[in-house]
This record gives sequence, C-alpha cells and structure tokens, in this order.
Amino acid sequence: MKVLATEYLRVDLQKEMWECDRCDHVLGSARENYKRFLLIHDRNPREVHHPLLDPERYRFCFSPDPEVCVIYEFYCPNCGLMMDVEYTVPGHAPLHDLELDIDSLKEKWSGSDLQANSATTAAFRS
Amino acid sequence: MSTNLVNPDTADDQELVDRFLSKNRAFLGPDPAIQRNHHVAARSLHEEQVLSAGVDSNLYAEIRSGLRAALDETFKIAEMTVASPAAQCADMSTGYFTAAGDLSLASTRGVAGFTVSLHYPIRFIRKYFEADDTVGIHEGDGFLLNDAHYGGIHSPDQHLFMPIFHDGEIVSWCVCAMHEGEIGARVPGGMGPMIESPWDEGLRGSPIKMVENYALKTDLVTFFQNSCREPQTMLADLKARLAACCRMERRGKEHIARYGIDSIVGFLRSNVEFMRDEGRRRIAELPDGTVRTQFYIDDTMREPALLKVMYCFTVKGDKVIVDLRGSSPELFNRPINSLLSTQVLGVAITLAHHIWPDMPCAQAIIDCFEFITDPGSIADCSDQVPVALCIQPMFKIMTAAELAFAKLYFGAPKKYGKTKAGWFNQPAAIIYGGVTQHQDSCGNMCGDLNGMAGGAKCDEDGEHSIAPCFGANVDIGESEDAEEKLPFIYAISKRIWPGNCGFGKFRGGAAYEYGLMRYGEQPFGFQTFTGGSYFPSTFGLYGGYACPTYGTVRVRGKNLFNVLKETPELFEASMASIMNDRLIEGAEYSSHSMAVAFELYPEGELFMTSQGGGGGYGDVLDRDPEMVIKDLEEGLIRAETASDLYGVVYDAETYAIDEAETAKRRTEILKGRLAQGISWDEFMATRVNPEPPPAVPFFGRWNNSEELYCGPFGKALPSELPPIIMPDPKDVEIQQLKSQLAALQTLS
Repeated sequence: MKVLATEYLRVDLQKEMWECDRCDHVLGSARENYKRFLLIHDRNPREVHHPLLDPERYRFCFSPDPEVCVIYEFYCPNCGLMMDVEYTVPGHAPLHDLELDIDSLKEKWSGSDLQANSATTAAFRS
Repeated sequence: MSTNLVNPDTADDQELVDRFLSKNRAFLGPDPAIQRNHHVAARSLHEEQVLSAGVDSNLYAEIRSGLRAALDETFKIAEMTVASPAAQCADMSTGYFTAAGDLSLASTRGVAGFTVSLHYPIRFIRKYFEADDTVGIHEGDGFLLNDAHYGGIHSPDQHLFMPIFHDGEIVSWCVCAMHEGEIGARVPGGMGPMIESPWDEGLRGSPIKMVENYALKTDLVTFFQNSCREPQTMLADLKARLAACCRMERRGKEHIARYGIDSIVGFLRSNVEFMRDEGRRRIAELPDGTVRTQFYIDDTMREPALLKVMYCFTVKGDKVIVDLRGSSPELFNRPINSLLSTQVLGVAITLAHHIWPDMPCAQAIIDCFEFITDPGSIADCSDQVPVALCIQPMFKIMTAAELAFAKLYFGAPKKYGKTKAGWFNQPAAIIYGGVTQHQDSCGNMCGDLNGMAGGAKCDEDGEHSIAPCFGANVDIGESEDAEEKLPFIYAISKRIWPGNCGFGKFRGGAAYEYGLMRYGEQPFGFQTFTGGSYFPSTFGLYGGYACPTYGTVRVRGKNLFNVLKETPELFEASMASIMNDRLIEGAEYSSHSMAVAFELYPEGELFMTSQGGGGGYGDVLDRDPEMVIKDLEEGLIRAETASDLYGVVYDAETYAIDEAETAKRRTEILKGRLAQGISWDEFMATRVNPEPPPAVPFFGRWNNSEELYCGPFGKALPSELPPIIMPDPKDVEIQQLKSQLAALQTLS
C-alpha cells in the first residue's frame, strides 16, 4: 500500500521507502530524512522575487536580501520535480521538516476500508 | 507504623505563615500558576452534579443557538457604537465563559482570539479578588483588563468582564473584548518600535473593577481618559463594552429563567468538554510524527537582526508536544518578546481558523497540547521585558502551526479542511498619531492591518487581501471614512503590484500597496512595526515559494498637493512609478524597513507601504499556463516571472500561449534543475557553515548548537543567557560618525 505524505512524496508502507509521486522513482528509506535523497540547489532569492524598486537606488526594494536569505530548492533526482523549497539563512543546514512515524502511519492506514480507498492516492489530497 | 505524623508546632507555624502571606501580599503580580496553565479547569461540584445526571443534546443545541444569537447581537451592539478604528473593522469579540473562566461560546464574527485567552484574568479575579473585601465580585460589576501578563495579547487590546449571578452564586462570565489601540503608551496606538520597556507600554491594566452596579466608575474612567491620547474614544468604547456586557448578562439570565440554572451550567461546561475531547480525538486520529519549522524575525524593530523562532510539533497518540526551544533569547529593550500564553493562543487560533474550521475557537480545543520552552526566550519571555509587539512571534507560531498541521494531515486518512500554504503573517499597518482636522488628539492604526492575503490551497489560488491570519470575519475599513476623520488622504489606495504573492502550482493571494499623504498643517505623523523587510515572513508549501519582502517608502521635502494641482501628470498612484521614475523635482525619495519609528510629516508628504501576499503551493512548473497568463494580465506577476520561473512561452502582444514551446521550456528547466542540484552529502560539505553569517546579528540556535547565539553578546546556554540590552541605533550611528571624523582628522 502506498500513501502520499506530501503533494509529491509517497510512502510505500510495505517496503518502507520514499518514492516520487510523479515519476515513481524510489528515493530511499522512509525512516530517514527524505531530503537526504533529493538534489539540492541554493538559489539567490532575487532570481525568484524580482525587486519592485530599483535595487541600485534603494536597499529596501521589496525583494529578499541575499546576504541573509537563500532559497534551498529540493528536486527529485530522477525527474527534476521541485518537491520542496526552504527559505533559510546562508550556511544553515537544511531543516528536517517532516519525520513521520512509519509504524504509526501503517497502523492508521490498516483498516480495510481505508486500504480499498487508497488505490488512487491523489484522492486524498483534499 | 504511620509516617504521616506531623509536629504540631511546625504545622502551626506553617499555618501562621500561610495566613500571614495570604493577607499581606506585597504585589498581586501575574500568577505563574494561572498564566502558564492553558488547560480546562476541573468540573465544579455543580457541573459534576448536572452532567453526571446525563446530557440532553437537543436541549443543549437549543441553548447554544440562543446564546450564540445573544453573542452576535451584542457583538453588533458594540460594533455599531465603538469609536476605535480597529474595533469598527470587527477586531473584537464577545463570549460566554464558565464560572471557572473557560470559554464556552464566542461570537460568530470578529476575532475570537481575543476571548480565547481570557480564562487567565477570570481565574485571577476569582483567586485574588473574590474574597478580598476591598474588591469582591458582585452582581453588576465589570472588570477591565489590558495587560498581557494577566491574559489577552498586548496592551492595546482592552477587555471588559462581567460576572453572571444566580441565587448569589457566580454561574458564568460574559466578556466584550476588542483592540482599542490608544492606551497612553510612549508611542501612539500602544504599539511601535520605540517601546523599550514594559513601562513604555502605557496603562497596564491588571484586572480593575471599572464598573459597579452596571455603571462605569467616573473617577477611574476619568483617570483612563486622562492617561491616553484619545479620551473620547476611551469613553465611547468603555460604554460600548459595558452595553454589550449588560445585554449579554440580561440574555444569560433570560436563558436561566427559561431553561433552568442546571441546564445553563451544564451546557456551558459540556460545550467546553466537547471542544476539549473533540480536539484530543482529532489528534489521536493523526499518525504520530514530528514537523519542524523555523522562521526568522528580521528586525528588532530598531535595527536589522535575524531572530530565530523554532517550532517543533510532535504528535504522539492523543497528545501534541510543541517544542519552542532554540528560539532567540528575549531582548530586554525591544518590544517583540512574547509571553508563553501568547504562543499558546496563537496555536489555538490557528487550529480553529485554518486546520479545523468546523471547530469553535477556544483554548479547550488544544487542551491536549503541551509546550516546552527556553524560559527567557522571545517565545516565553520574562515579565521584565516589553511585549507590545508580541504579535511578531505570535504570528510566527500561527504560520508554524498552519504548516505543521498541513503536513501532519496530508498523510492522514481523514482531514477537516483543505491543505494550504501559509497565510500572510505580519501586521502591515500604518500607525498614526497627532492632532486631527477636528482638533482632537489621536493615536491609532489603519484598518489596512486586516488586509492580509490568503495562502494558496491544494486545489486553488489564495484570496487577495481577504482577512488577517487571526480572524476570518473582519474588515479593512473604508478609505473615505478614515480621510474624513484623519488628516491624510489615501493617495494610493489598495493597488495590486506584480510579484506580491507566493508563486507555485497554485499561487498565494496577492496584496495591495497603499500610500497616505498628509493633509493639513497640524502636527501628525506615522510609524510602522512590521518584520519581513530582509527575509520573507510567510512560507509556501510543497515547493511553493514564499511571499516577497516589503518596506516603507517616503517622498518628503515637497508638498505633493501642489504637484497634483500644477502638474498632475507627474503623479501616478503607483509606488514603483513614483520611486523609480522620480519625476517630482526637489522631492526626497527614500526606502526603509517595515519597522520605522514615529515621525511627524508636514502637509503634502507621502508615506507608502504594502500589505503582504500568501505563500504558494506546489511546483511552479505544475501551474496551468493559462493561469500564468491570467496572472500576467491581472498584474499579479511580471513578464520575467511568467517566462523564466513558470516557463511559459507566449506572444508578448496577444498573450497567446505557445504550448509546444512552453512544454519545451519547462523540460529545459527540469533538466537545468538536475544539472544544478547537488547531493545531500556534497551540499552539507560545501554549503553548510559552523557559524551564522556575520552580515546581521544572529539570535537563537544555529543548526544543532546547544548554545543560543545572542547577537553582539556572543552565545550562551539557554539557562545562562545574558541580558540582551541593545544599544540605541542613534548612539551607534553617532559613534560611527565620530570614528570616521577622527580618522579624517588624523589624515588631515
């Protein structure tokens, strides 16, 4: 049985593995930090948030300051899907944001009705 | 042998000491036993007797409808009679509480958060004043509170409580709570960067009996009026709150007469227990797990800083542990510290508004939550530091809870609402003060504070400037109404600007810019107290980007009314056009952070800022190209964003999408990601540093450090934090100028 853990990240409860929900690529053990299995890119926030005011004239130009802010983008290593972004301070380690108890997840999905309903995991997004 | 023997001599001493201390308290300060306990009180004997005999659900539903109608009726009474601009925008709430002080029912409209944290003062009043002959609690009494150390959020919020008696016993409390604003603080409106100590926060109303025999006490009212900038507003709003409480008390007694006291006591308690038990049941449904979030408050309100706030939510069975350790130490002379009770409140509001929208908003719904903190941090500060802008860390825990439960629920079999990204979480309001065109002194806030944009949802875009993160049913007020009362005009009013939303498969709601131009020659000025000028305040979800950053911008040194009259073509109501084109000769153009101290503005000067956008949801490459083009047409995004970020190829004149080229560009972007992305191990080895960057003072835990960084004061273990007393930025600047001068003198 496979359950979506995020919009793009799936857990195979039998094999206890993270998978990409877009390309089915098996990422790694679901008992570890999923980010360890993704590609990471540190992006200048001004590439995403273009300044509203002229940055040459104004320090506060309505765009993040690259000296204190960086965007970590996390991609599926197989298809390039962007699974998460993290705004942080340059040099900070990525945050282990999601740590699901796999045994508990199995237990919650163990009911037969739930298993029957879980064939299409996308149905559980909303 | 029994081991319970007590030396009677010792026991007598203890009894004597206890009796002495109970009668001779030097100061009835905030009581940690009350303030650090958000849990539902135990059943009273009466409640136990009633509920153990069984519950008639249909009867209680009928009572609920009746009391809810009374709350909505009294909300309307207060809303139509208040003078405070925030309360006129529905920044208020009414509620019924149990005798012990647990919130049972709040008004449908407004900001239920105000009533959510008011069990603290009711418990304080009952514990310390009920048996005190100089105070007591009697029928027709009303107690006023505005000091967050005894409950509530911060001093600009003022709340009036009234007990409801039956046969000489307190059986309930009713409350009318609202954001009053002006409270005689160092700065207008009770909030601002220049508040540097608790004693700059204005009147600090521990619970005070302002009402006896259903009438305001004239001497106390006069004292309050005499101590603030808006005496008329103070009086009008005290009367509005009293009118609401009197009607609530009357309706409460009518219900007692109709249904009997047992039914009313049973209903009030049963409603609280339902919320408590239902919250616990819903948590138990979730898979166990932990979600971690971290935010940065990027301004102390006087200088740039990176103040980390860490929130770790762990679900274990039917309990939630909220671990706030690692957050920045408290700042002794800056107003952005938060009491633990404020953090607890933020979680309750978020659960009710964003995660369980079918649940009532009350503290009881998070009875199964426990909080772990570093005492002396900005998430659990001491009583010695100012908290006027505690909404900074409070709004952060709201987004933290919003995102944490979005993630915890995503993999759960059952959900109670749509998964969505962060709601904008900063108080982006202009606070004004001075003398109005009607010759009244004033100090309060623009209703624009409520114009926050919603986060993107899992299946649709977020709403533009729809409501604040803390209350779904409030308003932003009318520009014309403010212009009639106050000496400024909205030279720019509610204009969307491109890029002011979190991008993603579904984008966050956009938010508007606005600019106030001073009108008239009386002394009058502005201030702001918002973070998110260097580092985005509100995050997206699952690959969705955050909102951008913001600032305040000014055009000074010129009366723009003359420009508008003589050369109107030079003025376009757009912040970007005004600041980038700089067409007005002789004017001074400058940009600043979103936290600027109060300054007077002469006639014709312009002060501009922006409300904030919601976080985005999902990968930008998943966004339907048609929706990208619609965003472009509506001015929500720039052309570069459509082409470079969303990867949409279109005709620049007709906006017709080239589907084949779009697919090709998106494939190229995906390939680019695979080429530029590096592995975890390489990233950790090449990008992660053992120390925070030196550019801006850092406060809080860096990576997994045991010690907390304390900005310019080094680092220390949480139990050994130094007092962090920031120097006055003006002194720092003077010192820098002196050094430069000395260097120049040496050269010459």
